[in-house]
Amino acid sequence: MKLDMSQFLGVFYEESFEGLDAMESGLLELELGVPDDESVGQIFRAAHSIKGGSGVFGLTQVVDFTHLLETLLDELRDGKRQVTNELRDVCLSSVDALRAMLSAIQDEQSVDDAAIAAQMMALEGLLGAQSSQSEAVETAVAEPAAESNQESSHVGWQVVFSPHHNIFATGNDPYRIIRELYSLGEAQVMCDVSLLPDLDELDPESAYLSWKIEILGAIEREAVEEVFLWVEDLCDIAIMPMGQLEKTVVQQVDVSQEAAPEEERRVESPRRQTKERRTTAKPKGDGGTIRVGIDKVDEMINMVGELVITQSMLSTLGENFDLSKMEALQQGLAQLQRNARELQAGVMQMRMVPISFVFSRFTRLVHDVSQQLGKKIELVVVGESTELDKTVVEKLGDPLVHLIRNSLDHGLEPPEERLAANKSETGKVHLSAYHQGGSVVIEIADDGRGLNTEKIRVKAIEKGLISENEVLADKQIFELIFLPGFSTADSLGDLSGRGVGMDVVRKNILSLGGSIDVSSTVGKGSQFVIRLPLTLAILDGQSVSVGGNRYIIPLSVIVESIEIDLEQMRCVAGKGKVFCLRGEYLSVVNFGEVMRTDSERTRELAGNLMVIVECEGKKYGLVVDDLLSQQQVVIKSLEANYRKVNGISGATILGDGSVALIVDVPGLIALFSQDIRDEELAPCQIVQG
Amino acid sequence: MSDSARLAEVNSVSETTSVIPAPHLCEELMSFMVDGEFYAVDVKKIQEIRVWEEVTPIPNSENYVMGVLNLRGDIVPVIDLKGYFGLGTIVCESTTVMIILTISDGDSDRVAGIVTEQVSEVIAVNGSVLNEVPTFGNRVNTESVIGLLNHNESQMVMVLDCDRLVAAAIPHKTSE
Repeated sequence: MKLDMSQFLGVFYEESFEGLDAMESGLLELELGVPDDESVGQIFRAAHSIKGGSGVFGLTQVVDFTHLLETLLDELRDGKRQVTNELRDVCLSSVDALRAMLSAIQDEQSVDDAAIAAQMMALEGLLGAQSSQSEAVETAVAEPAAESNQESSHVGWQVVFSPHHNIFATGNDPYRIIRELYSLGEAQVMCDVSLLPDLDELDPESAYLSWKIEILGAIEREAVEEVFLWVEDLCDIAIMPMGQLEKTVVQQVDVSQEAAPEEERRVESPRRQTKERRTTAKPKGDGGTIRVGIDKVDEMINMVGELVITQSMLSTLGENFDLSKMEALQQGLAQLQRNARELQAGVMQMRMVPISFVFSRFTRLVHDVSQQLGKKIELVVVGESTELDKTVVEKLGDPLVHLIRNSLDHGLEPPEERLAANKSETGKVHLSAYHQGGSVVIEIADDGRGLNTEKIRVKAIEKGLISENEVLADKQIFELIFLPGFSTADSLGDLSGRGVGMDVVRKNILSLGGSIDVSSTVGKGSQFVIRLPLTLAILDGQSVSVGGNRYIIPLSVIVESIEIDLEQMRCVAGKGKVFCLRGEYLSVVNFGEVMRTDSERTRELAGNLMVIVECEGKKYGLVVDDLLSQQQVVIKSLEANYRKVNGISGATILGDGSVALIVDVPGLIALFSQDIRDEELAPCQIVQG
Repeated sequence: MSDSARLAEVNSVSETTSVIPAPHLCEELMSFMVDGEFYAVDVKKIQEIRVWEEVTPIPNSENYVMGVLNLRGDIVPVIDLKGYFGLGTIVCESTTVMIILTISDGDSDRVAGIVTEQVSEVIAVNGSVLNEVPTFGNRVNTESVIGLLNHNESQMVMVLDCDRLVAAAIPHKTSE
């Protein structure tokens, strides 16, 4: 039994953290005043299942804590309280505390008792329990050693005891257990029969009843626990000091009708969990798990079915093949190809998760930050359901947090300044995500003061990034903020401006194969646009041939491909070659030279092809021998068995089984720029004609 | 524990310093030829032996890394041993073979291929003794050679430590 439980522990944590997220977003959405039942109910249910789950796994500390929170939420639900800012903040910090507590338990680290105790006090303060009560708990939790003594001064214990259906099969009898409780002190037992089925459905060997027991008297917690020691694994049990709950208990007794459905849910929740466990329990691994909708799985099964049919058709065809069946074979192969495509798309789809996984945390962030900074901020989120590869979504979190904090901290002005600038008092931050071509675009826009080009310029000169008399366009000045060590914050705030900023953001985005752009208007606000590939595992590429080898250039960086016209070739200072493309001068990067693949071969530019690529806002002409096909390639790591190679982002296996390397264009450009700096380039000769 | 570490242990208890017993955990060696000399590796490290096939060269890599090979979906680097030992570049012929090694690199396993002129035989080590590698100062790189084995009376076989060899030839981390 124990072993079984540990298997589900992972699922429990996963569900609990999801529940906490749900609670958090629910709390943030709560309007001040009288709450609407639906949203409070949602928060309450999340809290309730965490409590139930923790009870199953014997995490009493979590149960106690959640119970307090639940009591508060219950009062809210019954309309006994109104939503105040104070209540919302206490609830939010309780969610944080709960999350910290659960992750500490998950990582098998010690729980920060003091913080939990403080949080519990805050909750109790709100609950307005008798002062003596909260005092008792305060000392109890602050000094765990004295816990039992202190708690024993309670009026008694309230025990909710719901045995599992199979409790009789193990030879245990709830009746005997309850009788034993009587021996501890005066007990009041209320039986909950709401789960009792009709007589014709009743299995006489199953337990359907659950009990609510109140034991009065100064009894030690251990004593109560001891009674249930033998059936710990066979029931859901919650033991709570009674005093705290008196109010709610009375209420529940009064309106037992109302209490019944809740009780039902309580018993139901573990059952529901079991069902989910069955579908989500996967072999353990450090890779984590993905929840996949059953419809996606069904779709996959259909596709595999079709694949099997095609395969059997082809093998029948192959058994006695002659040329007359050629057409059928070709048809079969075409079908096989289609099946494989669909299957690939289906498998990729499984890795896709909505971006709301990342976006959801920003509501909270904005809420906290606006209070901290005394700014009024509204966050507008668009396109939360846009789907992205799970790995991308996971790695996107930190850069986005940084960008949003920047907007909140530096971008948006304080209310007075906004009013003075004739803007509405509340600053707006727009966060949107949408698909565009083969990539996902994420925009973060604020209507704040915008980037101050003059300030950035001064700072850049100060840091020695540009020289004093360098003339830069606005766009180029904005690019400066992505340089390492650049920060315009006047004071090093808690939020941002620690100097490790935008360069890290850009690096992270680039490592995901994406790009980031900034645009800004002074006084109107600034906008960051992030472009990301849909997935990291598959890439649309253009295969090119250089020095007899094939390379894949990601299609996303290619602007166009042209044949080299020597008339348009120019030399800058007699050295660096540039190409004039419709009036725009591009650096010419000789792929073979930079990669040192064919050092002996002197390259004739005439007749060769040039792939125009865009990297960090600049265009380059990449000289290649030949353009081959465009194809989707599956990215394989070169680092698994070898190491990171400059200018190469990975490898892939082509249709004929050979390996082709995937070009890392930003890396290649970096190598190229380094070459220019390192080597004294030989004067180039352009032979006309 | 790498072969050499095991050897060092054995070495410390051996009485003479010039002759050391063969590492008892490596029972059989596969011998092969590079530039007219015989080398050998522990058979347990060998995943498979393949006939030479074209590999995809990697730009900006060490000269002795011939390229990468598609080994049933895995991308595997292939090392030219002759080049690594500084004896020139191997000329690939019909007898040229690739020995695919699985080596332990820290916690994980890595796969790498070495190219040799030909494989010769499997040598049973039982009872034989390994001679310590004479030192040549800095002139000769003997770092990855465990010891010298006297085979068939007069043939000298250099026993290589695959783990060290691959780790030294193609370090896993970017050396920037």
